[in-house]
Amino acid sequence: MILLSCSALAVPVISKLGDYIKLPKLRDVFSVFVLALALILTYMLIPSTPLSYRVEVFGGPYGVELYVSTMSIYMAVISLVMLSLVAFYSIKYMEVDNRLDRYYTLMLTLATGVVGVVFSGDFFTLYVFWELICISSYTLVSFRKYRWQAVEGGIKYLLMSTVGSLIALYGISLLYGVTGTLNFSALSTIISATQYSVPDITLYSIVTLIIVGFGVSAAVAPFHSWIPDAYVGAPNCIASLSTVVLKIAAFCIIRGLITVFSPLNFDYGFVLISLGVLSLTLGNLLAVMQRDIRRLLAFSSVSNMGYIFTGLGVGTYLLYHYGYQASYAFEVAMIGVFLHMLNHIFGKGLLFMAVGNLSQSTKSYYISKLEGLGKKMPITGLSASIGLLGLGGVPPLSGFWSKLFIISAAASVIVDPILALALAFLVFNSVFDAAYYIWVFQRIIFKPTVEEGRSATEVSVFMWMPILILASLLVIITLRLDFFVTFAQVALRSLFGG
Amino acid sequence: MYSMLVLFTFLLISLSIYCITTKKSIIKTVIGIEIFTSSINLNFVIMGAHGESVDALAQSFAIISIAIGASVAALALALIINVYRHYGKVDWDALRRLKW
Repeated sequence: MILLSCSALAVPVISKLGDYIKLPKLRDVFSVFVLALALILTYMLIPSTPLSYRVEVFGGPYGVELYVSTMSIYMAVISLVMLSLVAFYSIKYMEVDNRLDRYYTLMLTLATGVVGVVFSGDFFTLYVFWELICISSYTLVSFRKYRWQAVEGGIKYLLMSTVGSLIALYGISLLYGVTGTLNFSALSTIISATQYSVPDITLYSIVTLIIVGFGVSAAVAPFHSWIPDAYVGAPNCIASLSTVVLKIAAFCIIRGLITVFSPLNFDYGFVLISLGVLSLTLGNLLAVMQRDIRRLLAFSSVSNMGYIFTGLGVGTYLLYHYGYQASYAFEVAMIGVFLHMLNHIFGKGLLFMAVGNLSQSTKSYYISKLEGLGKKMPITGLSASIGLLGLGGVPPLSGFWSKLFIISAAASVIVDPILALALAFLVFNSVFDAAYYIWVFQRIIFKPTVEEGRSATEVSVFMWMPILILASLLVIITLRLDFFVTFAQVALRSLFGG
Repeated sequence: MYSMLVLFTFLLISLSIYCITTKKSIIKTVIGIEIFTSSINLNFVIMGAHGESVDALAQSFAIISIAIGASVAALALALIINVYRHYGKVDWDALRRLKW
């Protein structure tokens, strides 16, 4: 199978790395090449979806299964674009470190985990690959273990995220106990058939455990405290990888809940809305208080996950309370969620890499030390401003459209008090978002350059190229919005197909 | 019997969550995580047993889950060694340097 070879491509690198040590740059180029190849292979899978590959364990009817839908391809493609650009970026950025063979090995295991999670056809495969992602990303976050920030951020991330995954695994084991299988397509039929014979509280506690468990790794509001510490500790390129990990956690929730617990029968929209609104508000309020730009970006990640969760909550709430009449609004909300995932992965990844570039000369991450550096580094400055304005939701850019989709879905039934409240929070927070992004933008670009940055020049081509690619991708998303909306729509429909 | 066992794993999990949330030493927190992992594995095995017959799928899940738990614990202990090198002790109270 193409998809198996695609995931397995990452693994032989572990052995290859040892041979190539004598040619130091070869392993870097090789890992970029592998990731790009995996990206192309994944993209080539589009015509053959849906596709499934079953590993028969003990002849059981519902064994381990890999299942590729358009949704999987959508997530895999955007994650692999990001991963290969990060690998390209770290050729130059991570040059100062040694032990780079482990770095690239971990990055490729992370890629394997990402592809495995999005291609998984049952909960246990999903969990195994999810732990693969988590373990590699804990190690990558604390990669520079000679710095105390890395160790402190790493251990906080490890303990919180591990407890989160274990909570989710407990939910999965209860689900197994109730239904006797973990296969997604089998689960969805069994759950809707047995819904009235199993007490509601059991099913709802499973839903809660899964939301909370993956929510910890997705950094929604009450469980967000690890994210700024981890981002400060990690090298910048790893921080931009972490955005992919957050989206995969959100994908686990979407895949687990919407496929298995159909939103038509289960009322968990309110929980998602309240989590989302809380992380929106808290993330934004804490973000403006930060002096370190990496912490600001981390808290804005929390608030962006808030958009995703609120959008998800609004969609599922509408579908439960208003039935099939609201299916159009549900689709709008979910398309907004998918587009926002795309925007946030590209935008936040871009910003972390750009911050890495800007701080090359001043060696400081305080916003006050980055003022005016955008003028000295024209390409980085231009790309960073596209990223900042795009994530801030300034109208023509892509961040605006995904927020607009979510907001207009929330506005579809204006008389409903919960939706009206969610709408108010969404509008308020998107204005707030735009305000502080523009504030950061003007400080980096228009303020007079700081003392330390007088001699700053543009960084090497390896470091501005990925940023420029990401910025142009953000512009392309804006220009070809119809294509991406259609893609997201097909991806959403495929989620219900199986 | 079946429900008693499920209740037992639930009690174990509550115990481990208590351990994770209240203990000051990081090593004790990791022990709590280990208890959590084992009780979930136990839960899987219990859920897989239907009277006479045993679902082999659940057992294979438990085995894979044990392997994952072991690797996470190894990573956590490796990080704890680094924490000790930087801070001189392994307490959550020590890990409060990251601010703003």
